[in-house]
Amino acid sequence: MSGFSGMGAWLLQRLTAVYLVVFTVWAGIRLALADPWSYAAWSGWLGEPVNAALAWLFGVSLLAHAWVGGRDVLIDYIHPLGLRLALLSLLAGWLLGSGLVFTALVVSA
Amino acid sequence: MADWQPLRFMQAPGPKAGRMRFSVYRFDPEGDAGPGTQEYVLDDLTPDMMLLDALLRIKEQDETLGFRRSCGEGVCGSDAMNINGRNGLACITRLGELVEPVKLRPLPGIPVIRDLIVDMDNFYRQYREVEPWLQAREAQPEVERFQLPEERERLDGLYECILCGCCSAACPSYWWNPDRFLGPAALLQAARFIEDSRDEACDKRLDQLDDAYKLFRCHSIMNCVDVCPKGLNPTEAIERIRKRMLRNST
Ligand code: SF4
Ligand code: SF4
Ligand code: FES
Repeated sequence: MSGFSGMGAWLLQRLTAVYLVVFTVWAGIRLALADPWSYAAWSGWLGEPVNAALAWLFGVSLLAHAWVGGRDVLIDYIHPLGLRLALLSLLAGWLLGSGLVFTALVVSA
Repeated sequence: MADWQPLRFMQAPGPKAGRMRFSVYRFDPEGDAGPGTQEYVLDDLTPDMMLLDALLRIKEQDETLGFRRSCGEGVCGSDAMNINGRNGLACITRLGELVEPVKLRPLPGIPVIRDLIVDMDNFYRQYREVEPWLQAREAQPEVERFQLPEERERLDGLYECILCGCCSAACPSYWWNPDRFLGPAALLQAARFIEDSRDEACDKRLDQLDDAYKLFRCHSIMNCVDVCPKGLNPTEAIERIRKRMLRNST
C-alpha cells in the first residue's frame, strides 16, 4: 500500500461508513428504549465509559469519512495546486479542530 | 406501389428513412472561423443503412469533412463519435435508430484535431502506461503457457476491447482529470493482465495503480458501461482490481 491516498483512503471510507451505520442504528435503538425516556437516562447511558468510547469513535469516524469525501471532491474539481492545497488545509484544520472539541466534550462528560 | 416494403416487419421503427438531416460539428484548425456546425441533407437512405454509410455519402458531397474509419464493422474502433449525445461507433449504428437531425460531434472531453477527428495520444499513452503485455520471469517454455479453462474464462469480457475510447470519453471523472486518471479503457486493459493466470507481475501492477488518481478517481458512475459498443463492463473490471488490491493489502 503506497501511503494513504489510494486503497488506504478507499478502505477507510468503507470501514468508517460501516461503523457509522452500525453505531447509529445501535445507539438509536438503545436510546429509544431508554426507560425512563429522559435526559438523565440518556446521559447516564452515554456516560458509561464503554459507550462514551464508542461514541467518541463514532465522532472520529464521521470526521475521517468527511475527510476522504471532501478530499475526493477537491481532487476531482479543484485543479490549481495552490487553491487546492489551501482548501485541503482548511478542510483538514476544520475537521481536526472539530475532533479536538469533540474529544474534549467526551472527556469532560 | 412505390413504398411496398416486403421486409418492413423486420426493421426497427424509425424514420422511413428516405431523406434525413444531419448536423455535423466542423472545425478547421487552419481556417479563421472557430468551431461550428454544418447541416447536410441526404436522400434515398434506408433504415438499415449504417451511420457510417451516410457519412461516406456526405463526404462525396463535401470532401472537406474529416472523420476516421477503417473496418466498417465494429472491429477497429476508429469511428467512435458522439451520436445524438451518446458515444458510439458510426459503422454499427443503424440510421433507423436515430432521431433527426442526427447530431454528430467529436468524442467529448478529448482535444479536437479537425471535425470529428480527435487527438487520442493521451488515451494511447495511458494504454501503454498499464503495460498491456504478458510479463513472466520464466523463460519462454517449449510449448504454450498452459491455462485451465476456468483461468481462461476470467479473461472473458476483458480481452474483447477494441480501444475505441467511447467509454473514457463518456466518463465524468475522465473529463475532470484526463491527465492523471487512467480512464475506464486503460483500466479494463490493466484488469485483463492482472486477471491473467500466466502473468507474474500482478503485484507490481496493483502497486502501480494504488494512488489517488490512476484508479481511485473512478466513482462507479457507470457511464462507461452504458456506452461500450462491445457490451463490456469497465466498472466491473475496476471493481475486480479493487478487490485484488484489498486482498493484497490485508
Ligand atoms: S471498453 Fe468498450 S468503449 Fe471502452 S474502449 Fe473498449 S470497446 Fe471501447
Ligand atoms: S464507472 Fe468509473 S470509469 Fe466508468 S464512467 Fe464511472 S467513473 Fe468513469
Ligand atoms: S470503422 Fe472500424 S469500428 Fe467502425
